[in-house]
Amino acid sequence: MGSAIATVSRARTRAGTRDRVRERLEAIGVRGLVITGGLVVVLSIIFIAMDGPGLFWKRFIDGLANGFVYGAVALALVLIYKATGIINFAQGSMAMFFTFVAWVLANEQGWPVWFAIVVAMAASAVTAAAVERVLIRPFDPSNHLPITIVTIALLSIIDGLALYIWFADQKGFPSPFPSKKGDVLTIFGARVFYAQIGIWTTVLVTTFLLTVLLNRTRIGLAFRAVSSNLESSRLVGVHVGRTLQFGWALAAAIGTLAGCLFLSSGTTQLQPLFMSQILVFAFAAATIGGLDSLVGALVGGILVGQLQTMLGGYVRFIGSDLVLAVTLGLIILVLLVRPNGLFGSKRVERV
Amino acid sequence: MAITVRQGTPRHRGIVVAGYAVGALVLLALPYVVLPGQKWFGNSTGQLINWQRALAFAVAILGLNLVIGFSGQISIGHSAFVGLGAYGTVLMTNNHVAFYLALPLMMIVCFAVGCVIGLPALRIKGLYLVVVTFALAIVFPTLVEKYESITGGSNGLKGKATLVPKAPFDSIFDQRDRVDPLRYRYYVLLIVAVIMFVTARNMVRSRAGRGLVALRDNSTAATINGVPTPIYKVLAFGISAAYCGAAGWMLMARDATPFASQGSFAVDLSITLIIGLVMGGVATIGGAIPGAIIVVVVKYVLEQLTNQKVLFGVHMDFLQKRQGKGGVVSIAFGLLLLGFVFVLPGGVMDGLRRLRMRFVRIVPHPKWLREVGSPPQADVVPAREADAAMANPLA
Repeated sequence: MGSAIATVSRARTRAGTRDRVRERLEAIGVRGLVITGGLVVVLSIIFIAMDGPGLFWKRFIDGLANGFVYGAVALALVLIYKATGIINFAQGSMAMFFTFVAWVLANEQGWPVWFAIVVAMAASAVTAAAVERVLIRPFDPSNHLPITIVTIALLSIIDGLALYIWFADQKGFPSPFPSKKGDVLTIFGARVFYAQIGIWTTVLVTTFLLTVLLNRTRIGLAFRAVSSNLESSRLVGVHVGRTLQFGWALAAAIGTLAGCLFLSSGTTQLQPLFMSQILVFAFAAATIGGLDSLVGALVGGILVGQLQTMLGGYVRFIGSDLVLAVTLGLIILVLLVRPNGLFGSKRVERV
Repeated sequence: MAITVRQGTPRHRGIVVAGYAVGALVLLALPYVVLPGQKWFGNSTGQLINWQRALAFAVAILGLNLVIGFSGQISIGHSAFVGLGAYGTVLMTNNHVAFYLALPLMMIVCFAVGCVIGLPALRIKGLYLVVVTFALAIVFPTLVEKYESITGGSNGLKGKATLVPKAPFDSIFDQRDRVDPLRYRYYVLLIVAVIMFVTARNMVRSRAGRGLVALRDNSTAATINGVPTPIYKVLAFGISAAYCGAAGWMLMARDATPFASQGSFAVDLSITLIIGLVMGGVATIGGAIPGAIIVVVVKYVLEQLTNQKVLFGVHMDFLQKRQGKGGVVSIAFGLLLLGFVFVLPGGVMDGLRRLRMRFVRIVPHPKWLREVGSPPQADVVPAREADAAMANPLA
């Protein structure tokens, strides 16, 4: 009773309106945005003061492509985490395996690269759906430890399989974007490869499509219902297993796409372990983003990518060896201040 | 037909003592037993080296179990602590620190580092810790490469020949023999391992250990009931790191020419440890031993088999000459892990317990039941198996 009266009266007063506005802003994650923005601005000013704006702009562009890929893998992780509450350790391995499949289709079968990538994505989605049905669904979804251990087993199996089939030597991945020597755009003095632009656009389009899928379709609605409350959605008739299966398939396809995109910038070669570093950064991105926010994952990915290039470029003693360590250290610091990540929702626990 | 034994009776004590005696006998006799089938298990030297490695792995798995099993946090960063222990041992002994002194020193160092790493776990809950520990596992090898002048970088770090001092009993362990020095080192490791296991068992059964399990099962409820959450969580992480550091020391002690290389302390070591942990039994103390033995032996046997030209009359060219045959071990480990999670989620220890239950059922002493407030007719109540083990979060 008391609370109902309070709500009514609060809406009429000025203080009540202010409270409601604040609640709204908190729901969007404005505080996270403000903190992030502040950090970014301060760091940027320091960096620009060090070497001038030209170099900063160049490094910014360089960091962007990696950042988008981290964001894409983080999206895949977050999709699974949102729905099931587990982190899929095999995410990187699955992506790696089907990137190899795309490579086989494009390089050895001579298929057009884009077509090969799409087929590999479809294959990974089907495989992930099958894996979910056979290996994940038998377990109680609220007991996380066995499922996490199953994903660790999957990681081991898939890594071993890739090593057995394709060996450890490096292979060049054919870029789906124009990547000849002259395919460069100059924006304010920074060289931007067409491949980089391609990566940005693809990830943005994928995120857009994903948002539409989750917000405008029936299965997307079911997915959001399951991730917000599994028990209740089961009670109202959502087929939880099938919905989670859909999430796994979607995440695997996005992971595969991210793997192919990462290689198409041409800086890294294809080999069975190429995803492990990306996976660490993607974990970091997802964590910074808050693990249950799609936008957060993408922003987190871009942040991590920027941190990586900026720290490696500006802080001399870090160089290229310590980037990983320092970046992750910074991320842990951020988490200490905001344990739920920058965009994560707060949770109230009950006994 | 199973016989029923009451807890606390002389008969029950006899069974417990007999169980420990069998285990002790197996561990003591291992260096003198040579398994037949050299093709599979290697010769006597190879087998001994494997048993030594299994002991080191057992201590590492035990340490990991303190975090994963008893405190319910997943860590895939413990390979870094094993690596820290190994590198630290070699560095210290190269700088004239006595070998046996290096063990407590390394454990203290690892404990401190573990506490620092575990600190974020207080604020960063559950899966966030996974991220932190994963980062640790990935970062450790890069740090080793960065500080090449100290650690030898990617070339690895060589120690002085045979860290373990010579055996004092020349009549038992002949120095000139091919196998005897190995046996001696095995027993040294065994003593260290036994101390570690007994300490862990006592810790888990102490007030702090039970508090930790309560935290795992329901952290909010445990905190409300007065379990000092931050201290226990950090301590658990630090102690498990110290155990892994000791395992690193053991890995170096095992070798005639100690050699630490950063490649052997990468994420796959963590995954191997987790696999051994699940196979042995989550949240058990003794499970670390069968888990470690399975992991070490399976890896060794598979490596042997993939090097055979002909196996059971089948030509193994497709494996033997294959460049990526190293993948077979990972595949087998993954499949084994899946098999255990599905068929025997409690691991070997649970399997042994179930096997024992076919023959001997251990039920609580009726007097004890009455003391904790059960109805006094406990004698009439159908005999229920007394589960001394703390609930397994996997099963």
